Amino acid sequence: MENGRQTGWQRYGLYRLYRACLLVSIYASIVFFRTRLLWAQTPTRELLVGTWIGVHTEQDIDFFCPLPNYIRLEADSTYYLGMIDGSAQEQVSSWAVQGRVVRFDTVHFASQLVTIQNDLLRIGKNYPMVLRRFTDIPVDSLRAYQQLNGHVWQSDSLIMAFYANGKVSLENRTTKQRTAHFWRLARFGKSVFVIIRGNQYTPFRGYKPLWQLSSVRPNQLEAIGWNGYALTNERFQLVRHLAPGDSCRPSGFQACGNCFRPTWFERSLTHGQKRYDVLKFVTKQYQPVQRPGETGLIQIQFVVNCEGEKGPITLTSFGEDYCPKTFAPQITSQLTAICRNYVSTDASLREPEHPDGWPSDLWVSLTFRMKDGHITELLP
Amino acid sequence: MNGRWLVYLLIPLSGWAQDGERFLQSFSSTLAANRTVPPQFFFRERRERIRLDTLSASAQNYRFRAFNYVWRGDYEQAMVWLEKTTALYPKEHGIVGELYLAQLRDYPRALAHFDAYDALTPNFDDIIGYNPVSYLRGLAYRSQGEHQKAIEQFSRAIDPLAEKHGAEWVNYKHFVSRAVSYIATSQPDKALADLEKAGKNFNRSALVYYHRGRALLQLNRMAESRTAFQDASFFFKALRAERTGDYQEDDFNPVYESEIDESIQSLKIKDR
Repeated sequence: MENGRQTGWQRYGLYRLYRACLLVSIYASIVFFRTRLLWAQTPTRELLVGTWIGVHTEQDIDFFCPLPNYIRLEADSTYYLGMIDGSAQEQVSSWAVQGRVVRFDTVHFASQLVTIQNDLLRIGKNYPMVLRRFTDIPVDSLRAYQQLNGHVWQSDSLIMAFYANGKVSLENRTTKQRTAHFWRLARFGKSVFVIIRGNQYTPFRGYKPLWQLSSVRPNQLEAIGWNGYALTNERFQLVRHLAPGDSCRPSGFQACGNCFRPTWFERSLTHGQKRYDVLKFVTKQYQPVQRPGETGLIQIQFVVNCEGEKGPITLTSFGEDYCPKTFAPQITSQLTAICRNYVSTDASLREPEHPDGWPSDLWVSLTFRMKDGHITELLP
Repeated sequence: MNGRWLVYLLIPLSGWAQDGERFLQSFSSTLAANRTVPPQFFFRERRERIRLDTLSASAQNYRFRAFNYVWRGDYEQAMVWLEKTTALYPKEHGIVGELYLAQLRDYPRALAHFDAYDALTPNFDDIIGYNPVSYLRGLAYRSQGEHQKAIEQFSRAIDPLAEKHGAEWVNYKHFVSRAVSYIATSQPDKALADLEKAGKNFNRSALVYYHRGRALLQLNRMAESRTAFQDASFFFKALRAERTGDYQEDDFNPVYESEIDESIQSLKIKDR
């Protein structure tokens, strides 16, 4: 029994030793990986040196705005900021790494605010900016132009149609949403980038994601860029030649700006003189539908682009208890029409904020309080 | 002709360059904004929602969460969180009542919260922000068209303070609010007395002169009424030049330039 017990203890002792060794090795691996991770998250000067191509700014978790620029960090501490398409004078400043603080130009970033992972440089947490390390890939620009011009190319996620008149359409294959822009090629080093910018009306007003051509063959091309879901080396197949009669049109509503998010472009109609004008217009136009129980809130929201083109409209309604409620169509259809007509008749809403600015896209949100089919309030 | 072609050629190029210059300027601004880590993510709803989910339970956090739903127009969730906030933290009844009054224009609910807030400390006119609860209750009654009840509540807010410290210690907007109810109940003399005191506390107020014009109109003192409306018009323009945006003296008593102009115009028509 004793021997057996001793053997048991011995066994238990061995087991503890074995477990301790295992824990030490796991701990060592964690420390090793953590060091690797920290090393990846706190970039050294050597890691930062190079050219970084803009991918996007993460304005929100689900909303990115393309970055069509580059920053070049030279070993001699020179900092260059410029546009890939050469549309602006390159800016020259300096950069430094001091301890765990990184400085670009005059802006100092505390530890963890500048990180590098998988050749992606990430700056900040407020509006995180993502840039990728640039590798120069020589491409014949004339051949690339001939391949793209007048052709439709398709990848797993995108369809791009390059028109000879400088227009391009981009279609998301999942959502089937198609937008129209302008395109050109830009040489950067020995590389060639496809620059897509502007909207259905003009080649100005911001950019779409950049595509760096990595391989151009007669029926297949590859390009590095953001496909809407990930940064990839996207493979495109030639689908067809564009016919002379083909025109470049969006599939539906398209905002003029390429970084348009409705709530950011809200034009308040519920304060000051605009409130007075809206109330007067609504009072004049709305024919009350006397019906007990048609009480609560009706919220109408819609977008209008800089040229006055109206986008989809949403109507949400709540009862007196703030639970979802459906109002009579005689009420909702009237209010929807009145809101849209008012906004379309008031061009001042789209006026640019600054004299040299572009006309604005805008988002309107109006909430009416109803009592038995009558409008009693316009919420601020 | 050649010059015209040159202009056509230069316009797109200059626009192209202008776009690029603007972009680099915007990139530099965003870079600078990224040097800080914000306590809240304004206008970034999804990121802010995740942050709100991590907050501990407190009156301030619950209330902030409710207010976020109101700003987003999600009134169903807003109501759930507003009621939850006051159920757990009764001192929040005041600020929640003010939100129902000012933002949601839900006067019965606002009154219920004001009553609950006032009941927390009997025999004392509790303060919400800068206003006594009785004043806000008066605004809620007035918005429902119950002017007599409104005047009672406004008087509870104004009179003890004026008697104790003098009328110059009363917010001029409180006098205006009571005057509006006096005008609505055809008591222009009382309204004028209140507007007189209001004018002493802020003598460049378009709001005071506009309602003075309305009170004088009820008394058929046309010439004085027109002068008051013209003064209102002058001060409205002067204040607009001083302030930016859609400036409104008092959100609870909005006055618009068109309204003042229409009043002046209607008096001119009566003169003819």
